[in-house]
Amino acid sequence: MYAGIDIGSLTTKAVLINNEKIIGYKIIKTGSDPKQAGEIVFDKVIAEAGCEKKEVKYIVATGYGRVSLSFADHAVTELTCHARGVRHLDPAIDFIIDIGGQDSKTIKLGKNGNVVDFVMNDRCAAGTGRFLTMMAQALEVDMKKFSEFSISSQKPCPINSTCIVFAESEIISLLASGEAKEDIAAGLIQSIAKRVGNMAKRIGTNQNIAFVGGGAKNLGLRKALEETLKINFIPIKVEPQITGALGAAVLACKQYGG
Amino acid sequence: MELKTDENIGEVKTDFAMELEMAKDSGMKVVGSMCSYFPREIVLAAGAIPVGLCGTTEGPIEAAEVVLPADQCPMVKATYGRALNNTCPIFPLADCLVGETTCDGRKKMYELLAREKPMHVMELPQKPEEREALVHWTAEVHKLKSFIEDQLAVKITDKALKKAIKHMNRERFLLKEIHNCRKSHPVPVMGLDLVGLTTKMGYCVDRKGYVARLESLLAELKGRIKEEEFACSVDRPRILWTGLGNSLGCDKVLRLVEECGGVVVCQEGCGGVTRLDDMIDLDKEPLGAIAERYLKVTCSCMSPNNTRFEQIDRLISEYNIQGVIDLTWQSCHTFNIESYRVREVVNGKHGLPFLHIITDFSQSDVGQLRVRIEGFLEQVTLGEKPCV
Repeated sequence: MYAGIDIGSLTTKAVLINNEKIIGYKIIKTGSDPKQAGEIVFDKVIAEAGCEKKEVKYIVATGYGRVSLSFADHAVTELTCHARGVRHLDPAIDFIIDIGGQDSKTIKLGKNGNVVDFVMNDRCAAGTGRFLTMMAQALEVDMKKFSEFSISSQKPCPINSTCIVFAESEIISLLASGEAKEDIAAGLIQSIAKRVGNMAKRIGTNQNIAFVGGGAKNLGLRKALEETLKINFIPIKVEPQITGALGAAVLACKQYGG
Repeated sequence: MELKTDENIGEVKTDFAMELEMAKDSGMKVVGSMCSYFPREIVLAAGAIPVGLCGTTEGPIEAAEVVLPADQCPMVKATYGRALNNTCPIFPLADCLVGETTCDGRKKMYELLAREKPMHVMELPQKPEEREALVHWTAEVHKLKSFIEDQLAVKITDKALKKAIKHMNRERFLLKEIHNCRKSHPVPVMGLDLVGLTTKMGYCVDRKGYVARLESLLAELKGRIKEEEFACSVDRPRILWTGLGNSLGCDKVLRLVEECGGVVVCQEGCGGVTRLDDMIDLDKEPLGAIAERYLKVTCSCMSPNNTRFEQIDRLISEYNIQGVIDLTWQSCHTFNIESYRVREVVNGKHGLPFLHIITDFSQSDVGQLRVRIEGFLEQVTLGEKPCV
């Protein structure tokens, strides 16, 4: 049995695999103590799978908190982990878009499932999960509603600001001028889709693209990205948030611990 | 010579300021320069001390932002900030300053900097491949000579110019040889240590002493290669550095690359191997020959800046490079845009991993940068070529 733990800025994920099959996974909020979140998520995934810690032969940690996890055997970046996780699920996938809490990434995969190129957003929260959360808050709707709104809108408002701070004040002005919340939500989603879409195009997108990370749960964003890139994402068989942790577990099994 | 350096840039500057003050007490003059286009030979021929005053540390930025907009390149802000509030111990000692019309940020900032000291700005042609460019630049070098003569009340003779050229050729030759030692695998010195050493050694009053130190560094490196005393193990990915951020004080990304397991074996650009090959022809008329050499310096302010791409192409092969990192300071539009063409050379022509980083002098994004750099080094180590 092998484990992968992905400590992200907003959520911490753990995946357990045995014979290359997922036997359990868990997602919790990271909170203010990434080390503790890593310990808790590991305890929980072990308990839910009904096994014991000593059965786990090797643990790979990833995510921004990867170095804080003292009980992990090895740390690998989430870039490599997402690549390996997604490739494990579907050998045809050769490109990944990941929208996480504090950054967004576009990753190109090689034949063996390793990273051959990637681009990440630069020192800016626009195009990240946190941006979506903040914008939903500014519109006073929950994430589900925010996503639905953006699909039902017939005339999305153009949003000019790509900065989280200015986008918020732009929203307030739009609300004040009587624009519908759903059109503003749709405009915001489109602005992120354009930004992330261009990051993908910069390294040259392939055809078989998977959309992962917490952002992938947002159906409005998924649809907007598909329209921007003129493709349909390849559906993956698991929760899109756990591909990093899954890749870490796969690396634990195949690369380091096996 | 100790090849490991952990000296703080602040201490280096304070020590140098003290030496400068003593030299000034004995009647020497000091000329502050801003950039690699500055022909130092003219200052040496005037019997004065050339001092680089380009800003590479975070300290002076706060003072600069009172005047300059915050969303400017950190180098432009830090250079201006050195003139204010005693943030830099060296700046007050300069008798005059010389800048060049490189990027927009710099040339507009120089208008304000000129209020602090007598300043001359050389007009740098921006299409270096045109025949007229050299004609114009040669005229600018002549004007610089007159400015220095007026400011320092000296006469610059051809004889003194030739002597200065000979000296600077020697410096360039030694630096080139020092960089050449890094073609060895593994390298005899880590990238960060060499940057520390050369930055520190570059702050010097006595140029003859500087040459002696370069000679001893070169001998040390050659000795290390011969004795197989290497600075790291064979499995560290060999990285070519291009763009900016190649100097003590703004070395945070370079530091991260080596902390995360890479080794920077070659730097292209300011402070690196840029144009060290270009010796100045002693048989030619000195000012013309000086102009010719300095116009060959590469910078993204030039259009097109083709020599940079040719150089990167050549260095990748010569230094056995496994990945290339291109660093752009935030709000530096020209290096930022040019990175697309660097990627084309690295990815397209050589099929090597390429990472473009945009940052400033602050430490606030070190966590995010670490993910990128570690991921990049994983990419290099796993060594998979892109599918075509």
